[in-house]
Amino acid sequence: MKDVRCGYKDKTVVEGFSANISSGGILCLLGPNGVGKTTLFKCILGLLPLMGGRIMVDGRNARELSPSDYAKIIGYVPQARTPPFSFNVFDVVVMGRTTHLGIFGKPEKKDFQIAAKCMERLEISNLANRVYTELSGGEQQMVLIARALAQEPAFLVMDEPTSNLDFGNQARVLKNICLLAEQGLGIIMTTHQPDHVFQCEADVSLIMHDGVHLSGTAEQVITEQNLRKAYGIDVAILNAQYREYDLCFCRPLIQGSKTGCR
Amino acid sequence: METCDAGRLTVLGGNENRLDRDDVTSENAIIQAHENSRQRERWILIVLFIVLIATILASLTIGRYGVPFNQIIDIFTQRITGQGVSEANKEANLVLSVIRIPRILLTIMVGAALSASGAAFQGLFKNPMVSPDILGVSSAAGAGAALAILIGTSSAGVNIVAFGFGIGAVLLVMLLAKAIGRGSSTVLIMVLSGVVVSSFFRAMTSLAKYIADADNKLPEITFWLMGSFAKSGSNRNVIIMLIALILGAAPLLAMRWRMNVLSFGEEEAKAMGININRMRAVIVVCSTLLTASSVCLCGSIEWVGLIMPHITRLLVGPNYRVLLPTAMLGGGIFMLVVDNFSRAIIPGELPVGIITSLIGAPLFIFMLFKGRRDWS
Repeated sequence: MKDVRCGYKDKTVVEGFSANISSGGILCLLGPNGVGKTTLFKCILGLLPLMGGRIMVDGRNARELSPSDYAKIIGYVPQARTPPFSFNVFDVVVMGRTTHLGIFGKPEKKDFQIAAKCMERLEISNLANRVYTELSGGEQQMVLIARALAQEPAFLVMDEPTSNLDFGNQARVLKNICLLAEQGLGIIMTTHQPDHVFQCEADVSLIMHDGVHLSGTAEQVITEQNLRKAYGIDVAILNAQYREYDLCFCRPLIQGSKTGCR
Repeated sequence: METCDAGRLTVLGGNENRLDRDDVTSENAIIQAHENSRQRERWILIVLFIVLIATILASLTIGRYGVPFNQIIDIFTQRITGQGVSEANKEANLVLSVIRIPRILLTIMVGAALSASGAAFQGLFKNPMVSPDILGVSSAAGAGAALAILIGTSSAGVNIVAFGFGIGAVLLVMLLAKAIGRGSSTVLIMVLSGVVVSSFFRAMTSLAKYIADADNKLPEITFWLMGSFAKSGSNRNVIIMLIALILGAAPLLAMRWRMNVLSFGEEEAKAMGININRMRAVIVVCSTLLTASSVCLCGSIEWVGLIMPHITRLLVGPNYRVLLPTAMLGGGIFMLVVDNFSRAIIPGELPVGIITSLIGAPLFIFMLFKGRRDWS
């Protein structure tokens, strides 16, 4: 029953954005580069001050919560970047527990168990004793998701979780995101792939250059017309049957030609 | 077609194997492996502690006035049992209690302090190439000391002025960073401000050296800048350093788990529930206190704060939970060994700063090769 209402207003970048996300739901933020997705994102995470509007979590104003309390509600999954030090993967996941520890606290047995459970949940237990900096991009992304899960948040906020990943890893990470939502987490993620919205059956906010944004279900928002308006390119949205799957996907039209497989 | 099917079967078989392995490597296995590595870390700490004790005992015997080991035991038993030091041991006892023991204690504490602040700064600035004097502490303290010597204050006066300059430099850097960054002082602006402030104070030191009397003041300034424990090993200094070490290192040790999170960057740390501004302030204040008090008592001793956290990281990994205590122990041992060299290598005394630099530079290059993946 948890429910975030995002009333947000930023004079310079994004204005009057509002959205709703409840547990078990996925909200994709879609939009061209430089439109303010990241700014919006940082505001939701509390990394930037709100210039207007408000963010409500469970009926409470998010800005009245301390960083530590906020981190117990919202977990952040950044884009995988290599840190300067070669931490052990399990240590990285345990770091997600920090918000539950006192200022001078150290993780204890309970925290190790929770971290181990989170790794199991994502089926990456086999990475536990590896060195984080030596993992592939996809593995690092999964570890960061596990770390955010160890925070035991109600919501996950993910910054382009599939960028920089290869074809297979993109699918794997996306599958896990859908699974987590099924297990009851609310997920907000930015993405550059309209297809992801279809694949996760997510709600979507499409942000455009003039500050206009459209929110709704995938079918309502991801239309050929809207995508053309947002990205300035022609797009085809296709439906197809493959075995027992109903597929819906979009494909930019990059050439004038009417035939050929592209 | 058949080969295709066969290939598919193999793949499935492979998958099943992987599932089995995942089940084995489950929660308990992870925790067990983690427990094992912590056990190993504990052993390393214990071994280092024993090495430290052994080095202290060896250091007692080293020096111009040779005190053989059995005489040391003799003196200690006589003092502990309260029967008074015998006539034959009086002189050796004096050497030990007035000169050697305070110097050894001071050396260890300075090594530990420099290592701790180096490790803390490296995490804070997310950069393993950072050393404790990144914010200009050392160069400012050096300038303060040079000016104090020039004016001709007492040795305590030199220490106080050096300390004041060191702290002042960091305050200046913080103010600059805040003013330039307009409230949101980033790490980069802090480092750049540190570079500017350092260079300013180095110019002041050069100025002081230029106008100093070449017969007595200049050698004194130069010697001070090289760093040495020769004049600083007094009981008073031991107590000063002990207080600084407790005030500076205790908060760092207490927060050492959070320092891990900080090294992932400010945004991630904040999203993991850390009050980043408060924590950064505490780390800067504590590290500055440690560095400034070391520098003001013993002159600028370079490299220790840079290489000891590195060596330790190669030994126990980057987790501050074990890295910080290990680096402090290691720093104490390293400093003590180096100081023993400086006492024993030539009849007079070689400034310890020279030796740390001579050892530090090649050692660092060696580690650049060896530990490349640590900071790639």
